[in-house]
Amino acid sequence: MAQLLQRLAAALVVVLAASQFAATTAKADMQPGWEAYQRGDFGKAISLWRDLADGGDARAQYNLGIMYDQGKGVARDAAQAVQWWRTAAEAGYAPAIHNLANSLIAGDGIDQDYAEAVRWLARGADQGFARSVYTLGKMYTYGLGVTADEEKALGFFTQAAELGNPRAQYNLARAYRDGDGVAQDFARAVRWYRSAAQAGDAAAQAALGQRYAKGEGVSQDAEMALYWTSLAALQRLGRAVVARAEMVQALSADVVEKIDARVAEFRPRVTTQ
Amino acid sequence: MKTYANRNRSGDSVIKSYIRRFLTVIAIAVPLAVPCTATAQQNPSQFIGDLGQQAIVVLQSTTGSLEQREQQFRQILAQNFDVSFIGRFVLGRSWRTASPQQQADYLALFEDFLVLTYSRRLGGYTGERLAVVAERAANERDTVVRTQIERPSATPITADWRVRATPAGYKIIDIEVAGISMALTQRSEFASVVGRNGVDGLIEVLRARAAKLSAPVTRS
Repeated sequence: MAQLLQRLAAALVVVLAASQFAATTAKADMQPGWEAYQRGDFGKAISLWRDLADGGDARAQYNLGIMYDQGKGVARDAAQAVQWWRTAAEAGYAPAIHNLANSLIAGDGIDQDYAEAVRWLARGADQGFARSVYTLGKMYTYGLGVTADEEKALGFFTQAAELGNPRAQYNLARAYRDGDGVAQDFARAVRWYRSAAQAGDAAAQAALGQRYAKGEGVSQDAEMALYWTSLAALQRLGRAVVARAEMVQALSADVVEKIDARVAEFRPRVTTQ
Repeated sequence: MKTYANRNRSGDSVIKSYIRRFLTVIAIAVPLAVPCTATAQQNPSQFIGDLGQQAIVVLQSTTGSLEQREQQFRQILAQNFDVSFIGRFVLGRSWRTASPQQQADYLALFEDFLVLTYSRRLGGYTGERLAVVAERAANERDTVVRTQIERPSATPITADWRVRATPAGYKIIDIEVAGISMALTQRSEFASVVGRNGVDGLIEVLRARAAKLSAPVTRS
């Protein structure tokens, strides 16, 4: 009995050590390619990732897809990109699933096939991959590969918004502002506009600026209106540039200067999705 | 029948190889020529020459991640191309029949498309230099600036930049390499998409391209 336990313990140690080892090597393996990529040595990055990709590493396969899709270190080859993404997608790697789905929607490197795109997006959504959840919502909005269904679309936008996707947050905010498929709710609209605006979404920044200007769903505040409108204008959003010019007219130079200084300090919240 | 199919294929591949070569040249040339904010520009040649000089500074920079440099570069690119003019031109006749909403959606996505296409090769800088060799007036507003892109281990490439004087300063509205215009090439590409699936179909294609993740991963 004691011997058995001892053997079990020894086996456990070996298994744990092996998994630990696997985890660290996996991380270390990707790093040299990443460093070459950051230096702009795309040829080196490709050859390092290709070895890993041939060995079945889904992240390296996904990375190679990016290099072919963007023509970095190789001539652009959308069909090669799709092949690498498909391999990684079949292994369940969410970023590859997402890009494969978008290639199918665009007909880029593969024949356009909305229905197959929807099937892949649903797989990505099952993993909680926010971008795929959002794109799936768009497919229901436009009725691509599925029957158009506003209610389902909003359900996906809500899920993606809660997962932190700025475009989904913006779409959801607009639905609440207009009472489009949901009960109109200005406070909720402001909440979601704010999330997307903080992530740097220009359209959401402009819309939030307008909420402050009109006092809709938030207390009217000309300075906050200028702040968010300026951030959108900095990203060259036409309607924000026009709105900002009008707002500046109505405020003192001191106030404008103060807001400009705060605008310069803005850093978008980092979103992983 | 078979002969015709073969000939057709070889015709296609000639065009494809032209386009590929063209895009490669653009990919090299544009990062070289573009980064420049509106500085004092006396003439179109200086505008293009300055862009080339400043591009080298950006390309050789090692501060920040490649993604940050690319982002910075795309903003500068958008500032020095007349994106809305090119976007309208490239859509051709369909621009006039598109609804205001379609026009707005298309233009917003076209900027992404344009900067993504031309910033592809940023980071792959291997010592190229851009030299202005000549300039000629195309019409009252436009000037064509001829440049040589000198490469360390290959023959130089000639690229013609069509520059327009606008109220916001000089803007690039087209690039021609080996007699092939970038704007015309894109125009025929877009026309075939619109012919198949309409303007909404083109918008969907651009949206899907922009929705793709574009950065490699290093973990997870």
